[in-house]
Amino acid sequence: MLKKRLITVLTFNNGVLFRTRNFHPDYRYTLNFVDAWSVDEIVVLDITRESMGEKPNFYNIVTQFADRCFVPLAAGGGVRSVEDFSTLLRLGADKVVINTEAVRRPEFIREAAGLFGSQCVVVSIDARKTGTGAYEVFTDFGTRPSGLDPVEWAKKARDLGAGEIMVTSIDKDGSLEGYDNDLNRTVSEAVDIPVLVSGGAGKWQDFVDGFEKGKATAVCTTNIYHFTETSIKSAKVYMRRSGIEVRI
Amino acid sequence: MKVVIIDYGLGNIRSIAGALRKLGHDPVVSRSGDDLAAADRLILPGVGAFGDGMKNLREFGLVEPLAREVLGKGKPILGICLGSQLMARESEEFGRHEGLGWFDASVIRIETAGKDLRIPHVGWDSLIKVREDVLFDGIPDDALFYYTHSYHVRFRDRAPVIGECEYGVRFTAAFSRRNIYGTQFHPEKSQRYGLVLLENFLTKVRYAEETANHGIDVQ
Amino acid sequence: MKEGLYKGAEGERGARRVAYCKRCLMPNTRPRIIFDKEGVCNACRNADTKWEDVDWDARRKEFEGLLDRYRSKDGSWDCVVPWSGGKDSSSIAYRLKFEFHMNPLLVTFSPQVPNEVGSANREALIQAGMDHIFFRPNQKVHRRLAKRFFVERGNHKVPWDAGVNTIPVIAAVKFGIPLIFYAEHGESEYGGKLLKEDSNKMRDFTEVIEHQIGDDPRNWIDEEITLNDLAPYIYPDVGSMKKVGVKALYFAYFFKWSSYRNYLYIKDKFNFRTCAEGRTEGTFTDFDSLDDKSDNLYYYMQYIKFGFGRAVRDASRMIQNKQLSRSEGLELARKYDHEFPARYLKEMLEYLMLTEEEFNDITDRHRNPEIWTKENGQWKLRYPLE
Repeated sequence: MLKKRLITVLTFNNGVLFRTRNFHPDYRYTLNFVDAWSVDEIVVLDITRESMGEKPNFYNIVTQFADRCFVPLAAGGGVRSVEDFSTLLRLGADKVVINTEAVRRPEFIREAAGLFGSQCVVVSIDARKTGTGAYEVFTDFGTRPSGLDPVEWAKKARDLGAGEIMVTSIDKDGSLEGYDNDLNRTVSEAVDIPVLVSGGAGKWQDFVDGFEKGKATAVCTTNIYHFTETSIKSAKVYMRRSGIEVRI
Repeated sequence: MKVVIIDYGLGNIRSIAGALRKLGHDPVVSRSGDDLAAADRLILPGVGAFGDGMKNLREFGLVEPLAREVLGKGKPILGICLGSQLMARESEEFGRHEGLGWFDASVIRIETAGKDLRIPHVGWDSLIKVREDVLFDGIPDDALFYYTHSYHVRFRDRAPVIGECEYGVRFTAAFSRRNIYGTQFHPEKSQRYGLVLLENFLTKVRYAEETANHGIDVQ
Repeated sequence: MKEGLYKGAEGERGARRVAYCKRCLMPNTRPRIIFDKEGVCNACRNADTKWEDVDWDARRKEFEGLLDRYRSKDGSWDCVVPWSGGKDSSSIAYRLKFEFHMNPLLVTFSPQVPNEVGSANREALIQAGMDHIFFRPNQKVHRRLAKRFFVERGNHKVPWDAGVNTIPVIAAVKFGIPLIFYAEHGESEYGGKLLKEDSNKMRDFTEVIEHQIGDDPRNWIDEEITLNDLAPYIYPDVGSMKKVGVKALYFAYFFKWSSYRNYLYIKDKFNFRTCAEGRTEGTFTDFDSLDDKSDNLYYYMQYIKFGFGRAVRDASRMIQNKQLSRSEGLELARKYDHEFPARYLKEMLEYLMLTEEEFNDITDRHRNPEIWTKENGQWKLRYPLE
């Protein structure tokens, strides 16, 4: 039986590991030892603002993770072209996460899926509630409103060939209050491809809620302290006890 | 032992190379017929579409050398994911495509209609052992492996099937005939047991004439 | 040395040169520090506004108005002071009671390895006239957590941070005491970024989790630790806090804050003792952080991870408060910053249940390769203090 996944998402600012809150790089972590065998998947994202750093710093990170971690690795952040996509795959990523460029030019999803296969294409959707109470998709590190509804956009992305959708609540990012499971659920129920949920996880119960209330296929945590063997094991035991089928 | 990872432009070569290095080997990444000839073990990776896979194999002139080494000389080869699918006769992915034809099998889409199962099949899932095989030495029955695919290989004759997985349908997760092996899952991405499996392939699988034949040959 | 994920050494791509604040001595390796265009850190800038742009009269009036609203009329306690027995919390407690006529309840989360000086100082203030609750957590659990985080993060005080932040709030909620007075907002003083507008005034526990503890303590369950064992570290829920109307405030928002001045204030109010050995290990002062023997190792681990220790921290603070010049601070820091915490090493090894070999291996692994290099078997800072 296919297990539910717990995915660690790490964000890098100019090659330095950062934690974010509402998408602003908040402070740097010292990455001491990344050695977690129980993690299901790793996502590394480049959150360097345009012209605030050099791409090679992030590429360095991708190769280091690819060389050391024998689990699936997704990489993304600022992927603007098929060349960027291909570069990340060559450096060792198994999947590439695209966001802003996909909104700007939806054909990009079809191109990438056609060249590299749908399973390599993760379309990441960042959303927040607007004044009216409806959700809206934002691009450019959660700063630019797109006018798109996340559910409709997820469906379109799927039709264009996305392999997986990653949905992140901008409001909840870094809040430790739990996911926005209304957002998660509506997106998950709208598509038939895997949906990864992110933004707001603090305690293990949040992961359980992400699966049960948010209908997630996989839950993401951006907390570096969850990326230790002890933490992941603790989280998975908790989830298993709550009836979530995870890989232990 | 010379291990060659075949580079035909598709597949996470780096991960496989990393895994092999971790196991203490020094893999060569190549698409040259000479390297294939000099190799003791071959690995055919692959992520992407069947049609592209075959196109690249042809364009890089790898089809003949592969047949020579694998079918002719009986050299051990492990196909991973798309790499394993290419060994089939044909595929229906994005139109009808011809494969290497080493097995009487077709690549078809995972059928999950009406079962609330998402495609692609992505994540950690079981390997149900159908037959004993050296590939599985030291791997417990509840071991999980990482899958990421929308298509699977369906064998007309089940003899080569050594492992299966269940996702909507029961599909082949691992198959073999003497020196030829294929896994639908990614051992280089399956941590502990993936590494064990790779090591088993490298050190326990033998050339064809040294291996008993388990079933009906196609060629 | 275990290969770290940062290869930022030897000028490789991604290597960042360590820079020091032009005014104080803090390096850019400190988490949450920000240097402006002139190379001055945010703590220094904040120190400027502290002395220049604030209407302290208005703040004091606000303070007094607040206290007037909450001052007890029926003999109950009206405020909680999280108290270590040190100069900062003691001066807050003393002022609240004797200057502002409040009725504080002092609440202490036990030091990990209590120091005689700290215990004596607490006793002295209690003798001088204070109500006090001393909470000591399950040692089996606490030490297991301390060891775990020493290994994982090079910080054995993580569970202590959680307890010290939670127990006073639990006391406030359970005893129905609405005000809690903390010393200062650590981030703004010492080079951190403010996340919220009035972060300086009111304490936000989510912030505390993010910055100090890093993770929700409920996640610390493992094969031996159950949820029940984590009771001292689990923050009360928002609902119960709202019911009591708990308000956690920073004293430093209302009054010019200086650790040294706090020390001067408190030292003749009661028999406040300083470091018995004359000088605290790793620094040049004798009046700071006296109550926990494990602090010496804590600051030393900071030195290992970020390249700056207690001397740099103390000197920077004093420079910001105009009590020391940069060159004086630099000299003192160079002399003491790297000092190994030998004084209590044996006790710490026992407390953390480690052999000396394990200890050395762990500390080596926490050496950030971006800032350290090994020369002739000796560790050296790539970019020493300047």
